[in-house]
Amino acid sequence: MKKITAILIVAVVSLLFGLFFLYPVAEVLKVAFLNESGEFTLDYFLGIFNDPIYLEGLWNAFKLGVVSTVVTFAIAFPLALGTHLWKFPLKKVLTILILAPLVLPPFVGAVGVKHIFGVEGAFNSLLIDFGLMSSTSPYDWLGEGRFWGVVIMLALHLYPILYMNIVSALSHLDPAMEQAAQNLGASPWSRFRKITLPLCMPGVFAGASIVFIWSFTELGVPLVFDYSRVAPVQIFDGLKSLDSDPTPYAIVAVMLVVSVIVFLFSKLVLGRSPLGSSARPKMKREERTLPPVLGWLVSLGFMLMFLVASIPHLGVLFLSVSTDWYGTVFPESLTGAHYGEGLGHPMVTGSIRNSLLYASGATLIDVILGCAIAYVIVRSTIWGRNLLDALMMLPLAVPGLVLAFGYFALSQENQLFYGLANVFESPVLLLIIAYAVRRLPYVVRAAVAGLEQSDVVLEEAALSMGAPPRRAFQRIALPLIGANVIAGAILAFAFAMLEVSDSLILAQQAEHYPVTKAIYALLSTLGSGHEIASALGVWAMVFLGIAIAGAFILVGKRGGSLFRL
Amino acid sequence: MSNLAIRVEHVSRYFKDTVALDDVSLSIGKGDLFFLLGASGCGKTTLLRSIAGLEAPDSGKVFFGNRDVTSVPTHKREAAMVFQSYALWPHMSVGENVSFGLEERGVVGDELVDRTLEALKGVYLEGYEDRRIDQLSGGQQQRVALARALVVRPKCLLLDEPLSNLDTQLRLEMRLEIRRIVKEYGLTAVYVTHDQEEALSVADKIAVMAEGRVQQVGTPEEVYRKPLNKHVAQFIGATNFLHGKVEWIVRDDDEDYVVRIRSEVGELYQGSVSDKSWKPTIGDEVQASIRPEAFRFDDSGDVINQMFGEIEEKVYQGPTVQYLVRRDSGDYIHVSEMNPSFTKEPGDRVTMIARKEDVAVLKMSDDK
Repeated sequence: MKKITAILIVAVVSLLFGLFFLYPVAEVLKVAFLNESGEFTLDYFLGIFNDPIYLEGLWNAFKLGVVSTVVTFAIAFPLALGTHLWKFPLKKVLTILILAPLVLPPFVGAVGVKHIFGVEGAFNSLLIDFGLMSSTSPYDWLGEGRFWGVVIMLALHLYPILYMNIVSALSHLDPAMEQAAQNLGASPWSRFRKITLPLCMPGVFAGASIVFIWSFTELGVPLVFDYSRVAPVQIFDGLKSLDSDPTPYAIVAVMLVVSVIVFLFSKLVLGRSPLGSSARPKMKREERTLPPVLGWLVSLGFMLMFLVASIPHLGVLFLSVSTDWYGTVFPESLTGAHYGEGLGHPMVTGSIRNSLLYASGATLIDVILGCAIAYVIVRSTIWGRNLLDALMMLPLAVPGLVLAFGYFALSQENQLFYGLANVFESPVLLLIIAYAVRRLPYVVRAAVAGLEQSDVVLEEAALSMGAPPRRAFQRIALPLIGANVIAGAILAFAFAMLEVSDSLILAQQAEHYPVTKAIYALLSTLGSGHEIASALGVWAMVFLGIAIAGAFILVGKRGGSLFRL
Repeated sequence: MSNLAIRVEHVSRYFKDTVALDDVSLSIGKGDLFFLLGASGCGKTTLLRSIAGLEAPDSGKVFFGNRDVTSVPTHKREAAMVFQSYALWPHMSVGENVSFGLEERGVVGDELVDRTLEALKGVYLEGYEDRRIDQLSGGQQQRVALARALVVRPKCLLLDEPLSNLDTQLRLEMRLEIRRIVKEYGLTAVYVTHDQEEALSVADKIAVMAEGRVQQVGTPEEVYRKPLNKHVAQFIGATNFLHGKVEWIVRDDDEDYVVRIRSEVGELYQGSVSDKSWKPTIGDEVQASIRPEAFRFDDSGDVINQMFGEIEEKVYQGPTVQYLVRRDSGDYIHVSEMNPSFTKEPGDRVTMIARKEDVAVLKMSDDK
């Protein structure tokens, strides 16, 4: 590609990236580390560590991150290994089904769980019906174990991401490597320990760091479970007193620092691939067909996991069609009324329209920028393209909450984004940009993977046949990476629809609410708020289910490569 | 100048700290089937890509005819390339692949269709236009790649190891096929290969490359029989190197420079110096390159180019028999005999002799 084009793309991207990513992050850090007279200070930063409440909040968030990651790993690893090694009945269906949790924002699932495991929930009612619990003093499962409630919700939501990372890492291993070890007399166990495991570690750590950052900064689930002693919720609550108090900024800064350290550590120290840039394996892996009994046992394990992971979804589904579901095992009676009610509710229809607008706007930006960036990264030889590559992964290391917070601060009066946040009297542009920045890595990754898989000589051939570079890109490169880009775009779109932090923090007025914030708002309204929110949640589930299934069909088996970072 | 199609002048190309092309100059005549031959890493593909415009030389110039195309982008050079991996576009049919270049040149309608079909016919792929690429065999894909390059009637055709992915039988057929097409269309073609047999059998001219430099340019016979240096002698065919000092200048005129060499053990070799720029004088240390098939087992008594030894190993290869002979001086040479009526056996004493025309005298300092 022409040097000038590449430089131009890098310049534009750097400018946008600096303005809408680095600047807001820097803004957060600035308030956190500068006092009123503009001098550097660690007072606010250290102040957090002297305030037992904030300290507890941070510690809880950190614990949440670590424990959720461990639990997620404990779920994902056996599943991934089973998928990698064996052939078992219904494998195709089951390996898709266990990805189901991705289609529901975890905080909406938390609502469903509340109705199942709450004090007046279905589970207690079941125990009471069987006489295992007294109806006068029901056990408060979530109240007693809120921390674990959040952990389980997050683990159930996030394990597919780790699962896909590990499966992808395993499938990229050349079977010949294991066969070579086998040939030299290594037993299956020592083969696994000495060859397979070390080689797939980068994939494991890449996924694990995302899971950690996600759980560490999760806002929605703790909010729904009333688990307020956790840093993200404290920041969210602190928004109202923002003008006077720099403390929320300082907490955000701490979270940012921890997240970036974890991300870099996983990428640079643990995640360095010993494979380097080895060629893709040519040999096809043979999955071992298990004997029927064992095979069905494995299938059963997958089914159980799917069922457990679907509890939140089922809760939401039941809630959305129930007239009343309180203190009984099953809803009193079923009704479709909430769906109708929802469609009549201005906030619901408006939020659907808003979400579609924000998410598709963000996706459009991501696709255009993502393809251009990927092309520079893979095909150009200009200086700094590796830096660009690394930079493009940063939005994954920076918690959504931090960015949302920076945007929020910058959209106040007299700040740089004030105008942007108020074009057409609505934060539509700001939200679209906020959504786009955080999802850009997915599209870039997908396009980079596509370009790396399609040989550069295919484009050179077009040049050699007389096609100018632009035409060669249009007629050869783009169609060849089309499936990857569409898949990346669908994921970006889906995650934009599910976005929580930006949506809760930046959309202030009801008419600008996206779906997630509308659900959150409905949850706190009286009457059938929960049920309408659930109906909206079900709608989102169906929608995202289709989107994600579409993405997977498009990229085929390589789905995991979209998440491999 | 006017009968030169491509001129490369002092082209150099560096990759990080390695030199891919080191001050390469070449002239390729119009209508020539010109080969760039060398081992992998010798710079031949880089040179071809520099001609195609896919690689920008760090210094030097490339001319097409009298036009300096050094800074002309690939798509404006009208030099169609056939890639080693064929680079057929998997998302297009055979016909779409072939018509691509025409579309890019603004050819439309009947002409587009006619020329596409004609190009396919030219490579014996009539009726394949609607096939998908993955429905074709390797040989068919190779021919589609050829048709795709030919259909645009390029000024020159560039071929980058076009046959290296085919099996032996097909390779033999296709190389003659390519020569037929190039000659039929009157094209100038630059053909990169590491297969010396391929180069020798179809090239008009061969440039032998090693270490980023052109070592020798000549007809197949020239580079085989009169290698300019050790690189060329070694890369094209197998050979034996024998060392000694120049004892006598046998002939010194415009046509030939023939010397007689005496080895340490007293054997006498005589052969001609193929490098016209070099005239070794008496007492110079030189080496003689003698190909295995240049030897005959013969003890008729001529002392020049005669040597003695004992058969160490015999390898039967069908049409020829290869012997490893341990000479009385202690070193080994290879001798091959074409279709012998009696084969020698290990342990047999032998006397060998080579014709003077088959001995090439080379510089000693050629290892750099």
